[in-house]
Amino acid sequence: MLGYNIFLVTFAATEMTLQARNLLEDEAKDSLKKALLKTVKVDNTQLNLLLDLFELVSYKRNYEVIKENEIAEYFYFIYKGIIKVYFFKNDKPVVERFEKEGGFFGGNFTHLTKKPCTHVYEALEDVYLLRIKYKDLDALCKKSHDIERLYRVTMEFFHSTYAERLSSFKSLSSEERYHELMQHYGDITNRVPLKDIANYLNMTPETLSRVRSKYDRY
Amino acid sequence: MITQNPKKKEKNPKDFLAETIRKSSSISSVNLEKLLAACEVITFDKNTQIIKEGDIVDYFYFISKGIIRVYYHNDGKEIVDWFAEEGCFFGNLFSYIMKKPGIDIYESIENVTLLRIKYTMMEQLFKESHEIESAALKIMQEHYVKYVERVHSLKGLAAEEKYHLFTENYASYINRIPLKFVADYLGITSETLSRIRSSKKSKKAK
Repeated sequence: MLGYNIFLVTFAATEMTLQARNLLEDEAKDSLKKALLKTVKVDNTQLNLLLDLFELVSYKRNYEVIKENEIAEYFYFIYKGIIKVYFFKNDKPVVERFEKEGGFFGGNFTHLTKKPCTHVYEALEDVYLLRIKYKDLDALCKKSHDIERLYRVTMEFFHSTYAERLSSFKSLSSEERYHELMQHYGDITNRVPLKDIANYLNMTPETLSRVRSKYDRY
Repeated sequence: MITQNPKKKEKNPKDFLAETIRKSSSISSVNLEKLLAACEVITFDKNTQIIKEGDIVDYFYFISKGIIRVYYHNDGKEIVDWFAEEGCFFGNLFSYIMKKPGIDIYESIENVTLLRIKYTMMEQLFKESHEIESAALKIMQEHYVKYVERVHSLKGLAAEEKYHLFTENYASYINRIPLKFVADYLGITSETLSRIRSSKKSKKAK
């Protein structure tokens, strides 16, 4: 595992060899495959058609993968790293959610609505992502019923789980919201700036630190 | 519980659903007919719980007429999640996918006319027809975009701003939703809501 981590750092810091890049891309695709097969069974040949359309990209920390007002062209899967999704309200940032390894994001269907994206998708760490062009994904969905089903089921799963969390959030106290965060994301407090977590939980940094110290005691 | 259609003339539910689906997808008439044939019309009186707390839902619904309030209980309070109106689809997808009892209650605010289809029937149609599945995906994506606009966007807003956004998002329905439900939706007290509304009116008057 140590060797692997060093490898990642090297990848971020320098141009990697083609061979090394392909190796990493294969690993990322394996992980994507596992994530997709969690929701639905798909024929291997069909699934490989889909995986072939994905390419590996890496961005440095703080890079905005999808910018405000952009019409997103790609759909992303996170292999390594954390993405912060936020928007501006009265010039103040509001953190909507985080996505980490195994998560997906894609600019809230701006490719369909053609409305400029209101959200920013920013890397909080160096990230390794697999991306697919919506254009290619849609074309494949047209050709392959299996892939269309996979896309629909994955989307429904993501949406219903997300809606469920968002809805429950409405009635939680600050302690409970923090607890939910820890349950859902695992401990990301050492990877995400506390001010972003406080923003996400809709509390002041002071309240967050009070809640955390109480939480840690249990 | 099941009543006659309200006296007021309304669109034929199946025509309305066909029109709604056609807006999102270029589905063939054959497949559209198949889908419509699998749906049944059902009406409920005002204040009826169409999906109850703890139900594992069997049906997916389309609203032809009326408004539904989606809410749950917490500490004796009613937390309103969203309102579904004419042209909307609903069904507790989370409960269906997870095969877990849902906590949400779907209750009519007015007399409603709905179309419903069994989830198992819908899955069967998806299996048989790529085109129907594709139409469902498109509709789902549109629903998701709307949901994001209506629900997430409330995050981080002050009470006045929330109310303002609510009036924009639900512009054509606002007079049909009782104020106490609006207050529950915005997470504010009825008193705060009435203060906001009167200050908005006086601003308009100036």
